[in-house]
Amino acid sequence: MFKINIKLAWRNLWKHKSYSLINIVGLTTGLLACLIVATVVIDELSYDTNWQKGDNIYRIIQQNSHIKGSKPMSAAFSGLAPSLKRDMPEVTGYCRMSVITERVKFGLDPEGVAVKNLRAEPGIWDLLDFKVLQGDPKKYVSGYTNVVISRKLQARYFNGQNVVGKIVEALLDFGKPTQYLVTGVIENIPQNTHLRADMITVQEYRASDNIIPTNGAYTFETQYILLKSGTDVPAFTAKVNKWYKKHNAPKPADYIYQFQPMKDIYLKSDFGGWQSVRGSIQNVYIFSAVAVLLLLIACINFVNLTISRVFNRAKETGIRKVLGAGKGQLMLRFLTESVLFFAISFVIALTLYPFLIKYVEEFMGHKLAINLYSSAFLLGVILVVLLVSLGTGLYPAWYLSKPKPVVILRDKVSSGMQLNILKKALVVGQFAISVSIIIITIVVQKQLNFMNTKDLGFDKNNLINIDYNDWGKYGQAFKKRVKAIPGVQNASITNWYPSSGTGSMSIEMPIGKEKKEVFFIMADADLADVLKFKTKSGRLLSSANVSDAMNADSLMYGMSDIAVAQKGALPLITTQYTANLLDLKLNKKGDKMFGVMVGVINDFYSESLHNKLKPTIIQAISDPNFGAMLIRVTPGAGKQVLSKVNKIFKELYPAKAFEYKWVGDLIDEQYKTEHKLQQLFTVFSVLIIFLACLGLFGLVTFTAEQRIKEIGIRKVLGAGVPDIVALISKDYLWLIAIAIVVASPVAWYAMSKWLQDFAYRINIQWWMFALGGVVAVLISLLTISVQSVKAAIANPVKSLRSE
Amino acid sequence: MLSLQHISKYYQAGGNKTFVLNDINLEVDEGEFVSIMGPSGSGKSTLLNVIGMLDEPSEGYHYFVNQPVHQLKEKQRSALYKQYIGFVFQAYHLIDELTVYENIETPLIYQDVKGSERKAMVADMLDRFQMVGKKDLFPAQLSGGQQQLVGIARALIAKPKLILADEPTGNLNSKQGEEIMELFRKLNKEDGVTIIQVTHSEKNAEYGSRIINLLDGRIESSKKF
Repeated sequence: MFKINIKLAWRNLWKHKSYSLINIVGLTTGLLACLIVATVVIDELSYDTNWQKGDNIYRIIQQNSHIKGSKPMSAAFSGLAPSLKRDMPEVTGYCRMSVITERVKFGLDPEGVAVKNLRAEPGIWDLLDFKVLQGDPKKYVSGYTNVVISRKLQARYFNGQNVVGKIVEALLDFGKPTQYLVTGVIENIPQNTHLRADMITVQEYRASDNIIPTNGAYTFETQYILLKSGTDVPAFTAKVNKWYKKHNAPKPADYIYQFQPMKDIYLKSDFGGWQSVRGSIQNVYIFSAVAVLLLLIACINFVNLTISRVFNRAKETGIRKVLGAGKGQLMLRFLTESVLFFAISFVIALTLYPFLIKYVEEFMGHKLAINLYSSAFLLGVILVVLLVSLGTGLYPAWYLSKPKPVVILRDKVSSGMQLNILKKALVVGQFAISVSIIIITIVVQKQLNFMNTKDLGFDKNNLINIDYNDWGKYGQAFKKRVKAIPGVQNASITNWYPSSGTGSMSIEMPIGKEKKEVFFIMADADLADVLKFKTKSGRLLSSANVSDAMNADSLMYGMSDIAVAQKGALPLITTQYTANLLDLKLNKKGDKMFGVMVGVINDFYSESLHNKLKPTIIQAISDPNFGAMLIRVTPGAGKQVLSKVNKIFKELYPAKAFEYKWVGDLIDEQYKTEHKLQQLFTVFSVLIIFLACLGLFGLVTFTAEQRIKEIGIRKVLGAGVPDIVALISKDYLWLIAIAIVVASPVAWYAMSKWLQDFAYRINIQWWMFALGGVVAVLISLLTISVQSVKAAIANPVKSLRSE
Repeated sequence: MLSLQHISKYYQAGGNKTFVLNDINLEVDEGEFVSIMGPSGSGKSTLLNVIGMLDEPSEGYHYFVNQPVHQLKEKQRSALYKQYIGFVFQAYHLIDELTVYENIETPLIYQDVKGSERKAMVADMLDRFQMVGKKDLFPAQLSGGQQQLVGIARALIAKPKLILADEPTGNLNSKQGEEIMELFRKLNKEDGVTIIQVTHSEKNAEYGSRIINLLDGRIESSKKF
């Protein structure tokens, strides 16, 4: 029986080619999208789940408790973890570590190669397990920074030879090149960790870094602690906060602490602080939802198309029943057909999968640690596909095996033209999904466009940024030579550049009853001109005016010296927003204010538009030796200017790599997530619309087939082609109209949620819904008319001729 | 073999009952060859369907091989006709997707006959109807007469006691029709199969041993030869 069913299903598939093709294309698309998204989602969920002690590793999260609205940070005072280890028996180990990109002289390039480096301390071996291939890296060799490289680096730069004991040179952004001692080789660190790196450097900290300083000058580090297994984490958290309060007495506790489980770090880190490998649980939800929707639409198509054929198959069902088939046997037969369709589509999807997953990896920016061909996953997927195919096939099978045998004995096929209520609901559901996705795509696009074109308060075009550098004593000389290049309008060494954050440091200031952070930007006097700030009142800082700038050296002493400078009357400029907020008066020393405001400039957005304007003060430094350099060039001169700047840079800093970026690109990078989201939604919306239209096409084809007699009669009675097209289209357009009504509030809700992430955002407007609706109607009208016109222009004589 | 007592079938339309069958009483014995005649709309096909248990009467008593069909459940009815009845249709009603061989085989599959046995039975049948060479063709590749032969072969494969034929020659030319009727006669005489046919043609009706005339859902006359 089973064999016969398979054979028949196969034969049927070939006999009704267009029906089969629509189904297979639809199901393949749905399954493939689902497979790929499932791979990505499972990969995302697998981050940091494989560390042996992972369940007991926590990252310290620190939150300023006395500044309103301050975000939790994934970094804490440098001495915190060691202090906790000393004072808390629950803490059995700790490590301060983070991943940075470093240039190391592997190979021959004098500029070295950029390597992702997990910078850590010896405690790392207590927390994380790596498979050591060579050497004994756990034994710390003092006097050097120890470096452990991955098998990949060893293979690429050392031909796989033993490198333990070798010295390699690291070219640091700040200071002189440093020598690293290779102490071991480890197996490549898996891709699915937020600590994704190709090498580990291990260095002991100074004793002074192991205590919490009391002078107010903190350095921050990302820190991980290992807790005894079975520790009650909420109780431990309370204990730590109590401990810190005591530690900080008599001052009130200014920070509160939380402990984030290792496996949450990748997906659930909406924290401040540096973490380059970061996912978003929200995106995981979005992608899963979209993948499920895609599969759902594909399955709806299948159900709709299959039950549409009930009238074509009623005859067969009837005959089989007359010949003695039971309902169960018939259902089994139709189910076999469904499963066969799914199986074929699944096999095609599996074949296409490896080609597409490459693009997905490219899009994600890293290799996936998991793929379909890992056995357990594949087995699970096969099981799910089987279940889905049975689930999807069940209703059509039941429906198709319903006709009583007597139907074949009657000539007329009753009410064949009516869509049944379920089919209508399914079509509405499908199009509601499509319309929502179209609207969402429009809104995302609009918001991106808005961010792209919003006046940021500075001119981001034709602006080059050379990343933070230790200029040493050549800073001014370099700048002078750069300014002399034809095509360069001006240049400035600054410790802030667009997208680099809010400024180099902040102080808390009372505003009304609250405290607020005020941010400082330190740069040479040319910054305002380079960024093209506009003066609203007063004047800009000027390098000609000696008293405008502090000496760069005084900055080296940290906060306390700023405080000294604040007491004086150092000139500063500020944005209009800041002046109003702090109630600053031009050329007057405010009562709670340091320095004298000599000028007010327009507001500008130091951070991405996710964040609100921040109070910002700009002060001048006479000869900054650290910082980035912003170069304003005349339009079109960029290329030739860059090659000349590069030449000068090489001359003055032969050991350093010349790294620059256009500020426009830097700004775009701030919205990388949104851009990716937009790309994804574009792909998804095209897919979803394609699938929905495929289904619609199939339905209309069958409707036209079933109504062919009616159409013939109407034509004989004088109906024109437009009448017939309208007749067929009307039913579907109604459904799509309902779908638009259903979709609009859903899309509105989702998008207003999404937009809340942006401090500056567009308003959702009615026309976005209208446009989404019109697009859906047009596309579906096009789809419908292909078939309905064909039906309408057919010669009625043919359709009316009886057998 | 079967007995219909006071069988009626009607449709409720507003306050009126429209009778398709009106108080039919009919006894058919084993080995009979009955022809049902009557004008269009007289209820011939409905009567045949009721006998074949494909359609249910609105009221009345229906016994088949001494079983009260009117009291049986759907499943039991189905089991009953599966065992005893073969159908032949005017429009052949072969399954387009199946070959000649497979069409003939289908009833056996639903009666859970083993594969090897099926093979032997279908081969016998193909032999008897001289269709061995056509066994792999699809219905669309056959002439009307050949299709009806397949239809009859399919009806006979499960060795039914009763054959119900609804205008078996209606779509055939006269020569093909004659062949089919000869075949029926042979089945009835040599194999003792009971046959009930609906027909429009006097000539075909005369192959039978009894002619029943229907008019407006009633038996108008019944004559035996």
